Amino acid sequence: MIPLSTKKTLQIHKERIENDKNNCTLCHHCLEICPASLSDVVNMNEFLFVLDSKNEPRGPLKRFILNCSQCGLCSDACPRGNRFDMMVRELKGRIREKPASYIAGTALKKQKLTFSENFQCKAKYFANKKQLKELMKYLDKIPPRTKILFYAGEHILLPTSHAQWELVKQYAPDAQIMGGLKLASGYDFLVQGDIKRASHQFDVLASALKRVDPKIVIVPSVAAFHAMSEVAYMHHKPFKIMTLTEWIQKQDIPFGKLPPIAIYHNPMMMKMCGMNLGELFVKSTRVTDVDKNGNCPTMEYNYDEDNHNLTLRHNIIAQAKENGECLVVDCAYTAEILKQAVTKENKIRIYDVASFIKKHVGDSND
Amino acid sequence: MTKYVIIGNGVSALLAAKAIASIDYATPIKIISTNNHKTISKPALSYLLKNKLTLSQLQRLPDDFYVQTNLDMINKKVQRIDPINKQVVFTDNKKQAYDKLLLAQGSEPVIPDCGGLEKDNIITCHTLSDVQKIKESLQKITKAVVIGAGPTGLEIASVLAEKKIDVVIIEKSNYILNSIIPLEYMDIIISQYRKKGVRFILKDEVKHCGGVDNKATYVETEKGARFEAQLIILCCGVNPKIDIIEKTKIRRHRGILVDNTMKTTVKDIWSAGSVTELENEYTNTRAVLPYWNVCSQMGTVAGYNMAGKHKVLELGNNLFSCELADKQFHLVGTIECDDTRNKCSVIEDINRLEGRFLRFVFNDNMLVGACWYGRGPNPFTLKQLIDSETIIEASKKELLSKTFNWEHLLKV
Repeated sequence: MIPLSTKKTLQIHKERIENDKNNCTLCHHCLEICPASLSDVVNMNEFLFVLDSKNEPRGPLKRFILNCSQCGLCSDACPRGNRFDMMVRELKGRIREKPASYIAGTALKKQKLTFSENFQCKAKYFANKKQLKELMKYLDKIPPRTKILFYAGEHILLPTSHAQWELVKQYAPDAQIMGGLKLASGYDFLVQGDIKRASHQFDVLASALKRVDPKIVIVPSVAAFHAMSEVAYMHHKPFKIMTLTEWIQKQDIPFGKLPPIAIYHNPMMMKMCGMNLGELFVKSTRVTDVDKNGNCPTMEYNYDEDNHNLTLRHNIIAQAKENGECLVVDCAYTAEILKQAVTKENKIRIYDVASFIKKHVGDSND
Repeated sequence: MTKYVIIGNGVSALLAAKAIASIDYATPIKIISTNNHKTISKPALSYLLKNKLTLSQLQRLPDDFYVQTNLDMINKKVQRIDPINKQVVFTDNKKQAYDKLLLAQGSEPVIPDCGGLEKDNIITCHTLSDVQKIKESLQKITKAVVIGAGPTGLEIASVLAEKKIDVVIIEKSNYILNSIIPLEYMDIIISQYRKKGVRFILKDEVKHCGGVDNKATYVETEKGARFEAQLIILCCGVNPKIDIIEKTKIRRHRGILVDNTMKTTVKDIWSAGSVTELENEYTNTRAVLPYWNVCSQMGTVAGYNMAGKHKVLELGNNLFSCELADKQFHLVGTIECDDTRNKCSVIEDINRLEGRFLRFVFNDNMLVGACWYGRGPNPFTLKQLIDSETIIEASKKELLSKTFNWEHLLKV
């Protein structure tokens, strides 16, 4: 596992952009392939000039940059290997005004507030009242010095998260649950290249963890993993981060006989923990890994035209239907996304790893 | 007020002017060049031939820059420079005084030593006017000969082949791409060209270009072969233009020698671009690097230092990229594996059917070089890994897989 440091990321971005500016030969391959509107109006020399000048982009260039969805096609097209998407990110960051939460966070440092007040003050800038209430409900419950923490991340309000939490609770009664807000994982901002804002989100998360002080943090999704590794790295937290699949494997749950299944292992999860979901069930049933190409149906850089990965999702489901009775997915969010893509024609049951265990193992044990 | 004078109109000259203007924005900068157009991207000139880009898209900096800065373009030819009186002497014997001078006159194409080269349809491929001449003649011709199989020669051959022109490449050595890649990889690139209908004549030299009146119609080689041609393009590499500093004390070898701030051995004179010879601390070699990205960096560093801001050129390992037969070719670091070193190992993936290769060279788990044609990792990421001497512990299968995350290694 390699955590991503914001500071280091900034440094790498800076070096990268500096190089790519010099390396660009104005072949315009990137803009030619770009699906964003106004890409045909932008001239590369104007783009580089603004990038170099540290000014905020204006006019058509600004609108083009705002249209960019970071699909990454430009970087693949560049014959010199330049990261045009990174340069766009940099300019995108300049367009945004400083977020209110950032300014508020700096001001709050001077006041003497309790943990709960401080957290609430910071978090209210990126959460609505309902979300905040939900979050505080969990936060207040967590006692200090918790050994095992289940961090549901941005999906705490999803039913999937509750199923996972129940499973964790069953095998580790001392565990506690904590959730972040949709944006508290910081992932959205990092993808958009708004590192300052993301960094502030990580600060909020770190301040919550300060009191809890866990030894092990269990994460069920890519975004949650990302957020936790960032906090662990930035704030030198000694806790161990485990994906839910990894944690389940350590519990030695007797699965018994299971129906043949198809699995879809999120490539991001695989990269992070190095363990494949298939390894968990391979002794108990026939497991087929669908879509080994490493495409992620939730990531925005895989977007196909207008469909937002719909074709990819349908492919995964179709392959799963051929190979097993149901589809088991490791990342909570991927499971939710794939469930949405199920139609009448390709109907198949989709479980996240926890629901699957609860459904099949729970029944057989009883 | 300091008088800044820049000789040359290439990317290094322009970016030096830009760097000076960013610090000393009130001072006028004089750019002396024989070109009467604004600085354009030379590597992208082939796209002009393909009609993919217009001239305005090739311009390195927008018109805004020329309006905002006090750039004074002088369209004259320099005869020599006079460092004692701090003057630039033009061919019409007029003089231009300077306080700080940048030599960025670039390079000139090498003309092979053979007869009959003075004809109209024998063109070098170096400047915008050359490319425009080639573009004009493209409609009229069916057969062409390219002399030299370096990156420029190969690129131009690919453009000509696309226009359904019968192309023959003649190269005097046994290698293409200046022997930077091993023989077995060379075959893969050549086969890609052959698919497009390009013929290669290696290990043979041009003896004579014959024809009627002022028009060449054929090329004769030393081995006696004869190729018909309506257009002959000379792509035999470039040499730094150092004739204007001949009577000065500026130290030179093949190009002008500089320190890491781009300063020459004579006071108040800097040098940048393809006229400069650089010392590579990684490989302990001196070389003229006429590459776009290197020239850009040199220009910027020279400009800052001229304006009084100390900046050092940090090139790191060599990174060479070009497009060959519509596929990308990249080379980073050293790709030769010395058999005498036990710890040296090579991981390679050659696919002749798809026409691609990938080679990593490791020295005791440390990546020291890589080259690939077709799909591969991001070249700059690999350069950063090689420069920072990162230890890479991954299996061969992982390294060659499409999804291996090289960028993650950087963040450790």
